[in-house]
Amino acid sequence: MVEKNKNVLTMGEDGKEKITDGVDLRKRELFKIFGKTSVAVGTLALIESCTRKPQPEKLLPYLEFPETTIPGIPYWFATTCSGCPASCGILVKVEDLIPRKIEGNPDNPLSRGKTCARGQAIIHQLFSPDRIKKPRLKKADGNFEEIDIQSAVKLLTERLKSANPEKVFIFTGNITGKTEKFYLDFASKIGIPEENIIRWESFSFAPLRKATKIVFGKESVPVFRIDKADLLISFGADFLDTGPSTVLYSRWFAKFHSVNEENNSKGKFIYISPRRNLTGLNADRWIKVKPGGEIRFAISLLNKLIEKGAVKHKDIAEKFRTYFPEKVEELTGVPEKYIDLLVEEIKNSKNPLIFPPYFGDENSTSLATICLIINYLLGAVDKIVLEGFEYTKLSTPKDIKEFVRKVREQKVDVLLIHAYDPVFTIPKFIGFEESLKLIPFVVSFSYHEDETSQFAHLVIPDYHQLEKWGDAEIIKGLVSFCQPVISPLYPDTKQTEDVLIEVANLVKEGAFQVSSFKDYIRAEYGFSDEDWVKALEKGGIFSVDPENISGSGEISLQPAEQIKDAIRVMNSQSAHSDGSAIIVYPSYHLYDGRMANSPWIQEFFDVSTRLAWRNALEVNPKTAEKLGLKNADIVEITYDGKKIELPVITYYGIAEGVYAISLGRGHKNYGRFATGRGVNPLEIIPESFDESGEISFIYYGFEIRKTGKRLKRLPTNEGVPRQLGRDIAQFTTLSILPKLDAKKKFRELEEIMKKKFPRGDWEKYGRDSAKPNKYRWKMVIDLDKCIGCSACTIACQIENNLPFVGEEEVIRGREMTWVRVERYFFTSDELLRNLSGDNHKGHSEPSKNGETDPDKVVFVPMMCQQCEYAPCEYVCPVYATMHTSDGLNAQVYNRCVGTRFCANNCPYKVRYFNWHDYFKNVPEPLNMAFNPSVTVRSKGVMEKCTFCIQRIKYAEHDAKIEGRDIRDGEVVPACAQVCPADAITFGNIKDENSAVSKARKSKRINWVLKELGTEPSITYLEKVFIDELDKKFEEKEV
Amino acid sequence: MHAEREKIRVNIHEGITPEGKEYGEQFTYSEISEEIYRASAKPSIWYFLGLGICVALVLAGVGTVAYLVMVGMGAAGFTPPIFWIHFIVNFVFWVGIAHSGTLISAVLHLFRSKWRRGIFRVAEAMTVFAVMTAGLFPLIHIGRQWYFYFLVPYPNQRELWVNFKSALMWDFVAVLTYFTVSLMFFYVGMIPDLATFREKAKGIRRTIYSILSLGWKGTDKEWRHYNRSYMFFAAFATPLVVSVHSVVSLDFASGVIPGWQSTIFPPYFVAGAIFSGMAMVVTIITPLRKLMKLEKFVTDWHYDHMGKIILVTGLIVTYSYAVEFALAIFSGNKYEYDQFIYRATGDYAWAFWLMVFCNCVVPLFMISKKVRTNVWLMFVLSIFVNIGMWFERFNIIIISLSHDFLPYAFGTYLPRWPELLITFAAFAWFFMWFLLFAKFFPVISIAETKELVPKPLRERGEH
Repeated sequence: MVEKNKNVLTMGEDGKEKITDGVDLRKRELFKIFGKTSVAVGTLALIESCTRKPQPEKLLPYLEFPETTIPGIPYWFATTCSGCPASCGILVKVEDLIPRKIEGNPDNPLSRGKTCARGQAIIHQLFSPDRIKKPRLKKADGNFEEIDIQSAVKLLTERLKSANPEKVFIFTGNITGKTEKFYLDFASKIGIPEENIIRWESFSFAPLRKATKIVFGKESVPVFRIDKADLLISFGADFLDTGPSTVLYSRWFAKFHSVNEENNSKGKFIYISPRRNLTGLNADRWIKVKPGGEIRFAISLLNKLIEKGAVKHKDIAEKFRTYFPEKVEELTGVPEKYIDLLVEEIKNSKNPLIFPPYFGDENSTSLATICLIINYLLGAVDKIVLEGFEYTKLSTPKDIKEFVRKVREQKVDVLLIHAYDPVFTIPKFIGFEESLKLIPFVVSFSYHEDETSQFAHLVIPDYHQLEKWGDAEIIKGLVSFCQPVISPLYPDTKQTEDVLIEVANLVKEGAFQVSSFKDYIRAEYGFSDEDWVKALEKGGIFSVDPENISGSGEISLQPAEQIKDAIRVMNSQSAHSDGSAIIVYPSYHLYDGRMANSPWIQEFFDVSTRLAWRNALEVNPKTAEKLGLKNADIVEITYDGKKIELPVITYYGIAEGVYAISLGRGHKNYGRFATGRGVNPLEIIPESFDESGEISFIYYGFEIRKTGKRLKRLPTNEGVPRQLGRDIAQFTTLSILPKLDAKKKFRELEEIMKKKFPRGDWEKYGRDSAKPNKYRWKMVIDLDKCIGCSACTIACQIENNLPFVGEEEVIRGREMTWVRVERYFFTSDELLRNLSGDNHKGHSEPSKNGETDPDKVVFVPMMCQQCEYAPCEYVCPVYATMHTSDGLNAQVYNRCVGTRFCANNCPYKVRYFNWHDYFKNVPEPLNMAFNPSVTVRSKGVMEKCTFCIQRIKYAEHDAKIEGRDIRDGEVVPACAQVCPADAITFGNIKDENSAVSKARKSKRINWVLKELGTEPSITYLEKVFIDELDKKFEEKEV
Repeated sequence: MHAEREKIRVNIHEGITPEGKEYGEQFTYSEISEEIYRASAKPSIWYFLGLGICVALVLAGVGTVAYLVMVGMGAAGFTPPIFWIHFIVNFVFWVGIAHSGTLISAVLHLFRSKWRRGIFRVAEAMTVFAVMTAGLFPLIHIGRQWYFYFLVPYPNQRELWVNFKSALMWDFVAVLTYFTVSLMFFYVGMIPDLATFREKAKGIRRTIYSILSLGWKGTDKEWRHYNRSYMFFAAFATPLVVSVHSVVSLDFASGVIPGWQSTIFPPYFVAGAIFSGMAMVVTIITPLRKLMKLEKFVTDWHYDHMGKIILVTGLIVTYSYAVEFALAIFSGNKYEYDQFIYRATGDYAWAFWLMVFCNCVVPLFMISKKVRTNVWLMFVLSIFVNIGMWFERFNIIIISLSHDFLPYAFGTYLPRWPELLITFAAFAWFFMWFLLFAKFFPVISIAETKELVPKPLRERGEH
């Protein structure tokens, strides 16, 4: 990671004029200061005031640049991500004064320079065309009237003055650090009781919190040190999808799960759940448990462990032995021998860890409890850090129900909502939406059109995260600051905290000593000017690094009897004996739906279903066949008279008889890109709570009916998810790994090349035929590390100005994803056949009845392979695609006439054509986020991955100016930069010591379609399957 | 028919029916000229109706192309990974149609085959118009039509050259050469006939024919030059019979896509082209001889010969299919293997089996001479062959592309109206030219037909 030139944006709100008015002198002044950040902080803090004139709402590019900015030279500002409550530290690239791209903050121990797909896309929210630009007041007739910010603040003040503070409620998101303190301060200063602050996030992790309380006596969302484990068993915990910190867990998971070539060892990951999300797809074994059977499975496992003496604390263990349900196999749907095998695995491993679920069915608290007990008994508590993520004060849906009851009892007069769209995210059965109509005065602080703001009496639009000041302390001692990276786009918006300060000061004089939230935070941390600037530059105060924290083995268990009393097993699934269930689950890219207003996120191919723009009912192919359902058939799901209609998609990662629908879609009002896309299952789910107050995510007793309607085709980029006996997804097994030899593989490649060029002069035609160059760029992708999260896809889209194309075009397969993460499923059989080489001939059909579902998964990020002997090059009649001397397969957009021969002739199908002027779909001001270093392509032009040539050129220029060669690691393409698992290595192979040269020495090295003799520049390191584990499980199955 | 004339009639065709009956009728020189000129008389309402439909379709096609240029190629039903659709299918189809023209005029001329005389003018016209149709498609097809001149190798100030390694450039050169030679051949062969028309026409028509006939007087010297040059063109055009479609086939054969990369393609394409071209001659000439009352000149004797060619080329095509399959199955190349299994059993099995029926089964009926000499049956069969050959190209292009190397990137084609409309408009464009040609030019060579009249009769009557 190259050190970035980080800056602090120290302008105040006055800075607003810089966007709204092109030739204001004050703005010029401001940006002079902007360049000399450290000096100016103190001064500017004083200048800040609320005395701004409303400005006409217009976004204009600069005619004359402020003197201190150099066009084309980006500045990097550290701030905090808002893609989910995990609050990763990010750096925002500000080029020509406009934020263009987000990268992780390398200093932040949580993100370590990486982000997930969501984090990449928050920039689209900033520039969303559907932001609320002016405060709104609901008139008597129910229509909204736009007012200015001052009158809005006045209205709120009046209302708060007259209201009984006891009856004022505040909805916030997950607030941490000094922001949390601020809200508490605000409440106490105007007399609002603390419990009236309701912290609402869709996923409250309540079952796990309750379980830690039960087991260890402390409510916590622990940090699980999965990187320290060698056997990980997850009971449906999707820590890679939507866990408390996706980026941290992805990094650790890659560390834990990637192979160690020297020791020939690799962490084993077993996933127990009826459905696989991204986390489950990465499992070495997926144990398909019946919905509702997880708890019974866990209890049996606990008992078997004790029985076989696999536990450390034997005396305590005996106390938990009473549970032993009969008929495990029947209740869980898992052969009993699997449990024996698991026990054996646990016994044989040094560092086992059981990952309890974050949520699940109505038994999830008890399930989490049992998982924690097992962990304790196995002595795995050293990997459980109870000083974990700060989600512990989040309200549960049950708390919201309580709130709704209060509303009905008229105990709520004023409600301030500063959380992501509660009307959308709270299940309908709770009745929150109806209750809003009963509250006399509802204020929404949403920055964007949403459903909640429709019900508000007053809307005071907030700033977007990237315009805000703030902080987040997601792990105690790990503070990440938010600072604005652009001055507010709309003059009539205001940061909610600033509004609250102003209101508090008006309601009660002198409530706050400060006049802005920025000052509040600064004062709270007690920074000197210098420290403040340093902290902002760094992005936070990182006194704690999750890499260095570990749980103490001393964690004490609560009394066993007490724990046993707390465990309850509810049986709602037994009422519906066919065992069919609907699982609702949060989707990786939409989280709770907050990311849905980014069109690029809408067009993100779901990590499990591979659908874009909508969600669908996931069905196992066999179940679908039984029911006569086909992909794209539209079905109607009825529960208690409530209906939703959605298409069917078949998916191998779901057990037979189980259905699943993802959350985060079906918005009724969330801007033009989200509204009406997909369905929201929260609308029909019945009331069902877990003990902790979290809703159950598994439901029984619904009806599925075919409507007879069909979609033309599903908007997916997946053709056939099976490899058909081909050698695309590169993999090997632990037992074969030691026999592999990198040199032999290179020789094999050479043989192929020699065959292609029988005179042996093949080197002459490709590779070094062009003029000699110091650099030859190559990439290595470690498939064993790749978790398939597809963050690379969206990072690439943002870096390279790839447009979104819309659902209709995706149906036609015209999506623009230079990096396409292909996902192949295998059966264990197929895997072994492939490796022994006898599957290389012939056509193996997708799984038919009788064959077990394929459960092995390999993700292959497929981008332009920059072939040394590229089939696309020789077919272009106009030389629009040609080889450069540094080994790139360049695409000359201006020369391209669009014969599309290259795309046809590309064996990797990684060329993308501009069928229309797609960039014209991007409405203003969303186009502001385009990268100015990359051209926007017009219709009729072919395009493809360039290895981020603009980054190579930047590095070349820098090196030239400094009179040196490009250093290793200086050029990092966007995909490699973002990859949270660090699966992608890029560099110059002419440098023997570069990371990429070293990576190419791995014995797992391989090429996709190498038999074609294209000699790709991208080498893949084979994924390693643990065949010994598979053999054990499959033998016993027979 | 006048009784006295009957006496002096001779058989202009060689050969006799199995029953010993002579084919055709006997003509004098003047009758030949009269009959053929009569065909260009004032047309009936049906002609105008047909022409009207063609022109309307062509205009619709032009509008569609304009629409495509305006909004981008995405308006057509391209469904990646299928980056080439009907535009290239049509291109190959029409180049194929163009093929039999040269074969009939040049190769059969060199072989002194007499049956070509009744149909070669139609075949040549068909060649010219088919190439004119085919040539449009690459232009319609490319993404930035307004930069089509990037594809032309000419010295320019941009200092940019074209890539002669690309099969598309070979194509460009081959088709352009073919078009030029065909057009010259077509025109040179027509000069004496145009002179005949000049003599018969009046008014503006006469002027135009005068210009077009280049002052042909029919002197011995002119005939000598004419015959030499015609022979020269025939010799020059003969290699093109092989080259054009071979080169077109290299568009595919030089690619790496399974189902494309195949050394059998050049001969297979040439055979296919003659097959489809000959079928198209039958398709065109049947209604033409009926409408223009030229049954006397194009008889079942011609049909018999055309049927034989269709049969033979059809068998070659069938053999090629078989070889292609065998190669795919026994080569051990899993991509090829999968591709061919997919063709026969996958999403487009209907298109594949339609092709097999039309191209392999239908021509087999032509083994029977009764079928070959049954004009309307031949017409129906020829339409089947045309459909089959169109689908052959559809299969090669669309099925191969939808199922190549990476299973994850497999896809199927979703049609949309623009490419279908343009496909029909292309037929309309072709027939439009043909209808115009049929009314303004001699559809059957007058001069060569007269050559068939035995010597004694040549001295009688006017020329």
